[in-house]
Amino acid sequence: MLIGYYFKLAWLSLKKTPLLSILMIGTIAMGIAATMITSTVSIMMAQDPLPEKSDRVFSVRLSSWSPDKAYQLAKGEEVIPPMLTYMDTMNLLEDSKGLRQSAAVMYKSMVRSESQTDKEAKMLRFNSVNNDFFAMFNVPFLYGAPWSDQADREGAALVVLDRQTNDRLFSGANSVGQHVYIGKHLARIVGVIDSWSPLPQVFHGPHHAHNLPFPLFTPFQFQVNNNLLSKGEMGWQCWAPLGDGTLETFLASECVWIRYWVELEAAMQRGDYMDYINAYVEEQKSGGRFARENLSKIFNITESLIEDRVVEEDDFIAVWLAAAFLVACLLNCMGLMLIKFYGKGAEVGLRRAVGASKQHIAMQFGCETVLIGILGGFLGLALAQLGLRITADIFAHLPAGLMQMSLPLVVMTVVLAVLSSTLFGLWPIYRAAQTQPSAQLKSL
Amino acid sequence: MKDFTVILKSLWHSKTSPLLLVLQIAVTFTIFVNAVYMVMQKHEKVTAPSGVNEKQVFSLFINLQETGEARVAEFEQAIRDIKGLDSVDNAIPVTSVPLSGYGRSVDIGYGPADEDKLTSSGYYGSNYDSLDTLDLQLVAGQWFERSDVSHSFFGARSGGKVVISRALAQTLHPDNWRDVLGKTLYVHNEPQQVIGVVDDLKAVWSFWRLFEHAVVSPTFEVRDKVGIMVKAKPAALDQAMLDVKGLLLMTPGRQIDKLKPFSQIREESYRTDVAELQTLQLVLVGLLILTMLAIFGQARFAILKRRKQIGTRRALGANQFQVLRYYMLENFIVTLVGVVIGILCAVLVNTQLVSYFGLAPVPANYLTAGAVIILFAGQCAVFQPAWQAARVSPALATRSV
Repeated sequence: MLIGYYFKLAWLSLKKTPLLSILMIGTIAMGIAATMITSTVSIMMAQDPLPEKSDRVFSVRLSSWSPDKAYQLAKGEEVIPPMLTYMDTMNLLEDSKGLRQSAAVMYKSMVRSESQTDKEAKMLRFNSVNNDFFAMFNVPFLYGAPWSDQADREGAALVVLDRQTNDRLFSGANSVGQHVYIGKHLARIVGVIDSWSPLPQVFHGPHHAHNLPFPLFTPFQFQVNNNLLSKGEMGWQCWAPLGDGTLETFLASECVWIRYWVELEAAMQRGDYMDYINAYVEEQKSGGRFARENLSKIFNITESLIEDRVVEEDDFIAVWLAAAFLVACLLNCMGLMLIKFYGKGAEVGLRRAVGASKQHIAMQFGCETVLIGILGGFLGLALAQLGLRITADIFAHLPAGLMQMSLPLVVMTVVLAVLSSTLFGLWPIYRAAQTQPSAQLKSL
Repeated sequence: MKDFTVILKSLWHSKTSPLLLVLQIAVTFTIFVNAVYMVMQKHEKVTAPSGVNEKQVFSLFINLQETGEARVAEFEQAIRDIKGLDSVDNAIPVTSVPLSGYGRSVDIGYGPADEDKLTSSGYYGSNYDSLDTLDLQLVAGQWFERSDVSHSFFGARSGGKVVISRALAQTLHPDNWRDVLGKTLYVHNEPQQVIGVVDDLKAVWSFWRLFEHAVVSPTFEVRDKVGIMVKAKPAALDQAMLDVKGLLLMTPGRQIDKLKPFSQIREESYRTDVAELQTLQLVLVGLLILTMLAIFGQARFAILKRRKQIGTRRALGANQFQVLRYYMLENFIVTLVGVVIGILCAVLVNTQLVSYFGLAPVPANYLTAGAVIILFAGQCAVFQPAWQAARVSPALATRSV
């Protein structure tokens, strides 16, 4: 009741000095908007791409590197290769100890539909994966379904297209059963996936983390059978000489080039799976491989984002800059409030003289700062949306989803505005409440 | 300057709001100077010339399907065919494409061992025509002879000749870069004689510390996937790209990748930098507007508050100019204190930025320039309110409010 009256007073007071009010609300809004824009971008860059199961999908890493030296050292500690050899990948796939498991490699090839000519072919990127990949990373299907286990083992010439490629080649029609040329191989389409852009993209490693997903999927064994290795782009690494450079020696070599993902039924099974990995390493050691100390690890999605340095401290430099900007804005607003409340000395004196306590005065001005905060928050929200629109234009090469505010962020924006304006209003309110009734009344 | 002590006394008397302004200016200055410096560095980076004829050149990668000596013939034939097109001026094989992110670096030194390594450099394995195709400027020594051109599977052969970029020569011989001519340089552990220096040629990664280092060798590499750079006839870039694609795809099984005009390579290379640059510029403009608004707002209302005092001063004989000067000077003092604190903070923040994020330290002239700009902005913002104050009538003093 009384609060309602104070808000009415606050509203009248804001209307009485429009320029001052606009300045106060505007500066808060600018600071809030800048902070929220940069936070949104940073948070989206570093968010969890698979929240419902990020603690039970793991990247498997084996310390299969050279007996003589570590793969890499970081801060004095040995880093294990992020990728596996072909031998280990096949062994782990064979055992199938997880709920789902998949290799993940990329390659490039010229792609065209049957009706297109050679000249219309386009160089496109492929996800070379196992059929479990789709369920593991929640890839949504528009038409069709993943290929079968048998096709997976044989490396059948089957392909899954993304929506844009399907739109481009088949005008968006259900193309399941049709064929496309992958280089010189004719592959049958088994599925078309719906729009899908996980952020960040974790499964191919850090270089592709903030790119759009690759448009096509084929069975991992299909890539291997047909020697579709894009070595220039894959990021393969070897510690022993490669011999004659043929596919057979490459597959039999200790070169690492395959990322390996496993999904467990529950995060609790992590220990069991690690026991299995350790047992596997011991078995390989007795066969003369894995000469290094066993440092094999599995990383869940959140951990692998940090291990692969997709999420880095640098990402937050802009947030700090914006937070400093917000402080500058709030200091400005605080100064304006001081002036404003000082200017109301006569009114305060009168109210005090007719019986209002210091608390009442503090409440009245408290309501005014809250009102300023709320208005500043909403204006800031609008500015932030506008700013994100502009940012999305500037960063047009990043996926569009990056520049969207989540609901918690929207709520946080307004709350932050109210909290900070109230906090920075405390001193001006205190000063106003100290006004002596007599001193002011005399001059009236 | 008898106003000076009066102003100091009056500021001291009501500390809070000038103190807030001082703090705000200090924070603003800190962000401002660091951000301006980042903007300047980025701007310099994205506008630096690449040393290549950017309007007429495009690049592409193709696969070679033959093996052994037949592969060499296949590659040479492909280059000859491209050069034969009407829309094409010249074409060369390349191991790397400048700025594209695709290519490699080599170790450089005056001896074969790892300890002899002095620096690193971008590497371009090409042929005789690269001078003309890329429009490189030879500034010392001479260019290759046609007979120097050879081929290999990987890297330049031992005992060949190379031409290097001026920046690399300056790194090797800081006192007189021409001294590099005739020396035997170990490029990727193979001895090569330096016969010439080109003015400007960049490496492959725009974010690389040694981006300006480049070595050109007349040795083209014949692998299963090879790079080609093409110089189109003037104003025929699009046509040339179409012609080259059409020509190459007449061979069955041919793959073409990364067919891009150089302008696009440049744009993609600096995309993140340009985006950051634009964001920083927006922040800077916002910050400056905000500070000016703050000074304007505070000055305006502070002056409104003191209308009676001003009227009294006017009644006591102060002229309009003196009143104007008083408030301008007051603002100057407050801003100056803010700037001084700001300089301290800026230096502190900058040392943190330098140690945490590896940014370059801000040079002193940025601090001076920043201070002048903020002081000037303050004077601009306070002028209107101060002018209003100056026009307060002396008669006001005689009224009760």
